Amino acid sequence: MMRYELTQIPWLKRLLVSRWPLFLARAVTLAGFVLTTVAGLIGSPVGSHNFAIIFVWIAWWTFLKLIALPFGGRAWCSICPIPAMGEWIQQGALVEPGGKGLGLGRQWPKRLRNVWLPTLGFGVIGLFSAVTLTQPRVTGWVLLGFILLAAVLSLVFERRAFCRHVCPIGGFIGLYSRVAPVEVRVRDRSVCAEHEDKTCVTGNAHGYGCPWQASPVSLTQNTNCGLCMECLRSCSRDNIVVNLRPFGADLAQRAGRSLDQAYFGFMMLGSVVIYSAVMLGTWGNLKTAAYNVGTPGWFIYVGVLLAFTLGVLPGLFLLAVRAGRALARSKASLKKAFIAQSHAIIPLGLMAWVAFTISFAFVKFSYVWSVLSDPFGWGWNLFGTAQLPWTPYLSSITPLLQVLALLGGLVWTSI
Amino acid sequence: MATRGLKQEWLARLILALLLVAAIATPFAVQWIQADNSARNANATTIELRARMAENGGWSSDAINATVGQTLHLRLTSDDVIHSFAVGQTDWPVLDIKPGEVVTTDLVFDRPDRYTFFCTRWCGANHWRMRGLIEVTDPKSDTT
Repeated sequence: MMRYELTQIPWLKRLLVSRWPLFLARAVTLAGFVLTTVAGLIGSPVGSHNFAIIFVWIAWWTFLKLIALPFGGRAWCSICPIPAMGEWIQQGALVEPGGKGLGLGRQWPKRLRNVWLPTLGFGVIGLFSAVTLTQPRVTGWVLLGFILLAAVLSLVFERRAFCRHVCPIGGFIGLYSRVAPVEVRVRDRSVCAEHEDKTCVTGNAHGYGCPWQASPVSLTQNTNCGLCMECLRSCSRDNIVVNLRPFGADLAQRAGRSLDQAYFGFMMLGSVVIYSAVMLGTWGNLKTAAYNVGTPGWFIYVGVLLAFTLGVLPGLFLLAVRAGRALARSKASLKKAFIAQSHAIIPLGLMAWVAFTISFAFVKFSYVWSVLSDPFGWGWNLFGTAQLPWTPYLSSITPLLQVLALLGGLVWTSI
Repeated sequence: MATRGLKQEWLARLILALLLVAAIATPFAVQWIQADNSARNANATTIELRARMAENGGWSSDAINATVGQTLHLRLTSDDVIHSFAVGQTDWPVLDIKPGEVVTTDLVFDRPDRYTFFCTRWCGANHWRMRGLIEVTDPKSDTT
């Protein structure tokens, strides 16, 4: 398949190998994260006037779903602030390797070396999403909880255990990064075969061993590559490159497919269907049920969400796979066929989330200008934009864009 | 870590610390600089009044003290639905208080008395309970 090596461009390679660009980007996102968390915890309880709600669930989510993920895969993970604090403590340094870090450095339990935890985490977040997405204080506590959890895990386990095995956001980013047009791969595998040290895994004076606990040598998919560029720095044979490639290149890879990833795909696809009904639909009872945590209506919503994402959707797909097997008179294992074929829904899931994001991204983006001037909703006007009225952008073509995204996902999945 | 590496490390730490402090301090600093000048008036008393549906607590303060001739500077906001603010025994216009927006008003009372303030927007089943009292005193006499 066609590839264009970006690291053959000298200035770009210097930029990627240097630690400063990613560090500075991460420092900025961490500063923004701190402001966001504080705004959520102490600012106005009115969501549309709180920096936390607008910047997390409108600005950042739009950036992630419409730009970073489809075009950069795990690019967000490379600058995500959540694991930053823990990783810096673990490494004992911000930029230069060789610091005296803290931590027990334990290996992540074998039984949990999959995406069942992120799947469960995403499901749990979904159960409370109506509240989380509208209540600044809840968003604030969720963010604080994530960064503390990541820090604690960094002190107990080696490398980026939180990112690789726990983070629900990272879980779906990894899943959908397979369609992104950028990758980190080895240039020539024969060079790695002769290289005994495998410094991309073990690390050296120039770089850490892969923080994502991946083996760059055998990397064939983007799922577990966080684009941190450590392997570019630590490879003593200059054999690791960053490539531009066609969209969806990883979908043809059969290696590495597993039941947990298949189920995450169903969780994501099912969730976006339910969220669309709840948040975009005209049924007030649904919204009420999803919002009023602890009420009988909420428990029904929980049951429907979990049953649909983890039962109905995979069950229907299983029936379809079974029917296909019967028609083809295949003797292949049903489980293997299910796993293999379920990865075909990845493009559909991604485009469904793109369509869902489009529904509110442009229409609500104008709130960003007012919260920039009044981040806490306290009547400030720092930059003179606090009184700018809400203005829906591109509202006349938003439904068309959504339809195009969904149709595109359907066609892509069918290919 | 080599000397150059140590220097880079400390520079990175300094940048990080500055960014983290700036993220929080900058909004407060800019706000302090831009603070409402009328609120700095030595004769003004500034009170922030938050409105919530009566079921959720009603007015954040239902008893306010003021002095005849002194400006009572109110900053009003709503934490849930649209409310409004009106003061009895006066012909001051009713102020709408929209969720998340802050509206300010200056009140100057010319005689001591107990003035009721209340919401005039239907904000919930217990809307009628959204009321409070402004007690205006005259320091020149002890009567209200």
